[in-house]
Amino acid sequence: MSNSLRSELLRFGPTARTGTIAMSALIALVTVFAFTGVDPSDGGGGPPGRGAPDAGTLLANADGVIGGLVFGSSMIGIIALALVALSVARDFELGTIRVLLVNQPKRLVFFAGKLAALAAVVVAAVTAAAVVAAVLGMSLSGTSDIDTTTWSASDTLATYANIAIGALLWGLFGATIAVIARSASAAITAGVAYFLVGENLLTLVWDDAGNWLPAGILDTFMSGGSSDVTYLTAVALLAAYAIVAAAALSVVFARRDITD
Amino acid sequence: MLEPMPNASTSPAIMISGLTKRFGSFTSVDDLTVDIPTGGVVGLLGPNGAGKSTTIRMLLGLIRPTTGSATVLGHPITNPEAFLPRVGALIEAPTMYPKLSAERNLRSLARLAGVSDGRVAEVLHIVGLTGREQDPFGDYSLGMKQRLGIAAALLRDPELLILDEPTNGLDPAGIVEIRDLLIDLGRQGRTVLVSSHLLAEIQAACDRLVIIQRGRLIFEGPIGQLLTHANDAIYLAPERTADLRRLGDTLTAAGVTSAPAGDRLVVTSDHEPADLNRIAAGDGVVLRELHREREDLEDVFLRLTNT
Repeated sequence: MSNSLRSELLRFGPTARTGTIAMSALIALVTVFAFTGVDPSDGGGGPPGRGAPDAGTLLANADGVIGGLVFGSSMIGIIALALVALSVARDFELGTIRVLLVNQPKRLVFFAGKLAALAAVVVAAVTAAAVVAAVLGMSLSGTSDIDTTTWSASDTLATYANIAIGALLWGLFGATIAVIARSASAAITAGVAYFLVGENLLTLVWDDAGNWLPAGILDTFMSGGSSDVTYLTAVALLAAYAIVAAAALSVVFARRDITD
Repeated sequence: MLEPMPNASTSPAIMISGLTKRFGSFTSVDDLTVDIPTGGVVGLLGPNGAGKSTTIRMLLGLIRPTTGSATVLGHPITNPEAFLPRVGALIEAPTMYPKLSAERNLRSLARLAGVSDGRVAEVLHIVGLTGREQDPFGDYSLGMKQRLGIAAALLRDPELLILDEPTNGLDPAGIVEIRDLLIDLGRQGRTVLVSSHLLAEIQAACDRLVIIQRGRLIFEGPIGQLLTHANDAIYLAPERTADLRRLGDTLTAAGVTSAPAGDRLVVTSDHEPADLNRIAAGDGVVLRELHREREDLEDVFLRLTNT
């Protein structure tokens, strides 16, 4: 696997740059909006997503210094999904998969190396985004009357870890869709459509969909749990989804003919 | 530099037995049985869609056969990790990452194959790309891409080289270069299986030919043996080109099968030129050309493959 990892890392410069810039720019924007839109007297800015507390509450939390990262965690996940899906599907679209598998015929070993390299890229991008969020958070906290005495380094690190792990899982789902679709545009469209739109539509007919389906559970996990789903329940559900995704990815990649 | 292969084995490098691949109702390779001996250059020929690339992909473990079996360097194709470290391959168009330099693309493949980075400069030199290695792959001409694809195939200093249409898109000088490289590789004791849809492009490099059409074997043997399948052909040209169709109809009415060949007709069945002249004259067609020729290799190949 190390040969595959070293090989992939040599090619991931542009991917890593794109991912890092996209995530950092997004989080910078969200952080600025969150802090500048806060008015503690009326509870702060608008809600960031399904069932999430308002900006003022989030920024006053123990991990409030990276509140921008928490606000934008779903978008971080979507970028991770797109980044991984693009990298995986591109090998099928370009036809490079043929050359790669002739040089490393153990398909699962090859793919494990590729995923490890992509995981490193995603974690690096999330880390850069977290640093941007923290630096901006500290700079802007004085202008928004947020109580920063509650901020804690250990809670901040725990939240960062949840979001990084969550982004890796978004990436795993992206890789699975890409291996099945073998097309970057189809994979990204299908992934984004399901995770952003599909589950929200399902909540119209199934109230608890967000407590059981992957996108909702990922949100809950990245926020450290919710009143409806505990952190441990979210971990268990995500582990189950990850195992199913990894199994589907492995079977399809190992057994399918390479006709591209 | 490419070193001669030590202790070349005498058993076939590739043994194919009843290999068949179906995609739905379409049969791409149909009960193919053929051996590729060790050492030398073997041409895998056939028109586009004959099943060459599918056969090659099955030999490289990229596609699973529907039925049949094959071994490469003594190992079944169902276990590609056993033989691929001794095989180099170029599969259809050379594909690499367009924004990365040629050198970085090769270094990435070298790492994947467990080959030292130093080998990259060697193979770039062998294919004549030294000095252009920092250019992005996407900026390369098709000929340069083909040469880089061959460089990638040579990274592991392979015993067996499988090249799918390596002369595709090359200009005449490029074709000669690749041909010389193939001859050189064959002389070193390596086995080179090279596919093409054009006999003329690889004829000079090949010791043996395997010709397939619609996935089936139609010829296998030394290149000279193909000439034993050569027929005599009689070429007829009417004095007035406008009479060409009329001449064809006249011959057909007399039970002679002919085919157009430019501004002439060609008859490959067993007839005498004098008989054909008599038939034409009987319908008032004056011939300006009537002669017998023996088919060359290209003619035989084209006739066997109906192209």
